[in-house]
Amino acid sequence: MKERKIKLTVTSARPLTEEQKEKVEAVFSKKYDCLLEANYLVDDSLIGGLMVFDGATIYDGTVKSKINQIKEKLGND
Amino acid sequence: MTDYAFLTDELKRQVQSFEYGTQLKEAGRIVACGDGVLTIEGLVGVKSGELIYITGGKYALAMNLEEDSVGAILLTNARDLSEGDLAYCTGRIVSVPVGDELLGRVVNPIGEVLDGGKPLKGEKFRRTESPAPSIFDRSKVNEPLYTGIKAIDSMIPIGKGQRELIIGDRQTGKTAIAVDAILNQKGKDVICVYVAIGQKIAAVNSVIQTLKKHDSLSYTVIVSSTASESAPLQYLAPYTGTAIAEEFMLQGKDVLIVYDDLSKHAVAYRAISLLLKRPSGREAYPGDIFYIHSRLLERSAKLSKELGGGSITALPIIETLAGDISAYIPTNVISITDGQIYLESELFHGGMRPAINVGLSVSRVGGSAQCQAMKEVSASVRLDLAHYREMAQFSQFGADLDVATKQTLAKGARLTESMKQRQGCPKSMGIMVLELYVAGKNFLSDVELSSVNAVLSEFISFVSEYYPYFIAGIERKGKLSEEDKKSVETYFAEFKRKRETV
Repeated sequence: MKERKIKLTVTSARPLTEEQKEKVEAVFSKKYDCLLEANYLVDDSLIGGLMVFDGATIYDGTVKSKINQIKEKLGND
Repeated sequence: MTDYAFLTDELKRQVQSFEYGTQLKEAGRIVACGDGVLTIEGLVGVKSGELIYITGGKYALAMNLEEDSVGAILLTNARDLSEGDLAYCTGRIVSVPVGDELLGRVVNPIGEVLDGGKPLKGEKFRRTESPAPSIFDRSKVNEPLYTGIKAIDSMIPIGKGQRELIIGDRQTGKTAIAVDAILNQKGKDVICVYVAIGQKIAAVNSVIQTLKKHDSLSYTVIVSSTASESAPLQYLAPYTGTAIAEEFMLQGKDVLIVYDDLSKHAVAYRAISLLLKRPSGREAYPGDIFYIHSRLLERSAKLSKELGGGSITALPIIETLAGDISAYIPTNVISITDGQIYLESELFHGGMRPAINVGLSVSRVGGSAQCQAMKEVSASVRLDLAHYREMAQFSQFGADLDVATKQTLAKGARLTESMKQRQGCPKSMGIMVLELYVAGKNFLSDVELSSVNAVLSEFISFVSEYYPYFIAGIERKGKLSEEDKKSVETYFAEFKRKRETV
């Protein structure tokens, strides 16, 4: 079994607690089945929620992006 | 009042019923950037030639797809790009705005306006890379495209849908021929596209001013990526111009596109390839240097009637060094095009302008793109000039020449002199036919060599004044009947008599 290392960049609106960090890492290490190196950043312009970048995909669950989604949908109708 | 209540209710309903989930976006991170080339890690699903969006409104083109990284070239000028920035796939291939709103405008290769006017509305977009018309989509090239330059339209005729290369050393008049061809399309329902690749900004401005002065800007589109633009933009410029031209061609219109010049285009592509660490070949050019020009020039064609009968005629320009047309890029492009117009600096400095070497220039479409009148008058011109050049070498020895040789020399010298033409003065077909007929039949044998062109233009003014419908008649019919020929002889005799009495 290859032990690759994946670098995770987790950006949140407010600093995460240790418990929250462990939960995030658990989800992703189960997904990729390898070592994780997590890097935590704080950006309050995201308003709330979490954004995880694993080097190839961005998992965007921030409130900012949800607002943008609504904005786009309303703009189209 | 009820309207507002209704609206707010509707909005509330939409927001509440909106299903949002976590958004998944394909992304990558820039690990290296410099000289307009980016190395991006991630972007697993990116496709070759796809447009990549970088946070901050910047765009790049994916060119190298490797196992764990992507090499992309920046399309927008970005000084504040840094390592660590996020890049996203857009799912789109590079496209540019096309359509009638482009006419009279100066744009850069990604469709931004450079002439200080209103930005383009962008109602219609077209991919910069698209396949050339297939074999069955095309029809034969049989309509002439007049450049208004006598030497070209008589002996190296160009047809609509042809690719004719203009090749020569620096400062031999290559751009001048192309611009004159554009000027000559006024009122002929031909749209022109001028693509400036790696040119001096002052040179492009000079072209624009010339077109403005002759009121030719209204049917011309200028795509400009001058020498201070990045190599990726210079690389993209001809494809943008062709996309713009294709849109008009598919509407059934005729387009003339000038690529000025493809030598600088090859140099820009070489720069990009070396920065992307692609293996280099002869003269440090990458392996696909032929392909970038062949796929560009194959898109110029004449479409069949079923597809509207539109056409794109291409005039690519190549600059040679010390007249070497057997160098790498010149030979590549010569083998792609349907003929070349070869300009020599010796001729230029000897006063022969346009400095066209008729012996080495060729048009592979030739007579099938000429009207009957032009075909007739120019049939013997090429041979006569060839004979003249042969004999001119004898006359240098100062030997005693017989009468026949002297006559051939006199006729040839006057024919050659009549091929000289001022820049920015393209001539209509009827005028060219008349002048060639007069010079070819040796009517000018008793005219001083230095006044040949003056006499010819005086004759044309004479005919326009006293027989105003004659020239227009030739242009309309495209034929020179026996009657017409006799009329020309009569008119010339009259003109001569008038001149002598003055």
